[in-house]
Amino acid sequence: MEVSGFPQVTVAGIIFLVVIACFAVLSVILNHHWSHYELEKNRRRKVRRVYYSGAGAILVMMLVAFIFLLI
Amino acid sequence: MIQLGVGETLLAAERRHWLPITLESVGLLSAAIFPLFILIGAEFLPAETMAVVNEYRAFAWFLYAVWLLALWMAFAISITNYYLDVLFVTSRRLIDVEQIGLFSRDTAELHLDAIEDIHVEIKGLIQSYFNYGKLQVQTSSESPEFTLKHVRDPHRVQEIISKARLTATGQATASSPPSVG
Repeated sequence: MEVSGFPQVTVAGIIFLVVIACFAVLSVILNHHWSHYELEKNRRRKVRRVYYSGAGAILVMMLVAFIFLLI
Repeated sequence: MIQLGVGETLLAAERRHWLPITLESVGLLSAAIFPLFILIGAEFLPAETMAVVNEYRAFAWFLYAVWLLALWMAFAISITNYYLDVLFVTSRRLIDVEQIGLFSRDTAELHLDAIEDIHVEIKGLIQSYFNYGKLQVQTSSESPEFTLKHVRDPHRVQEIISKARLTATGQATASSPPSVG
């Protein structure tokens, strides 16, 4: 939807790509870091579950908002 | 869990109090809800303004999702720090595991016989009511060796450490050879 001249889709697309790239890099580093966390493995697993469930849900919400922007 | 030496027992595993993380979470939740009121409130604007609002509605929701993700990252850092911070009191040592952000972790160890003083600081009404505060364990050096913030029931922890220290130094004196001359 490009009505007023402001390139909403382009800006949103760039933001979306940057966010996905940052999230992917962060997740890879975090997974590597947490796999070496020997102390209190169960608590670490819980923290990881909380992080991924919330971030996943918000990323889906962002994707839906982006799709709405496209149509 | 931690690696204990031969004959060493784990006496306590102390964690941070839940109140500071709850207050932080409430702050983040408020920051998450506030833009939602603006987004929903925009639906009740006059008809002529609605045309402009409609133009940017999807984009605003998209930006809101980005904002939520940023807040979620802040929450993840807070919850990681809270959930993975721990102080182990064993029959010989104090082991302080402090999570710093998502990636850093600081583990410090102190032998009980090196402890000179244990200082508890409970500041203000909230800390007094919820019974949490700062615990400082000092050694012979000038600067405090351990400073633990938001410790639950710090006087109880102080007592556990004091008892363990007495037992440890007692054992050390008993097992050391008698001095001659």
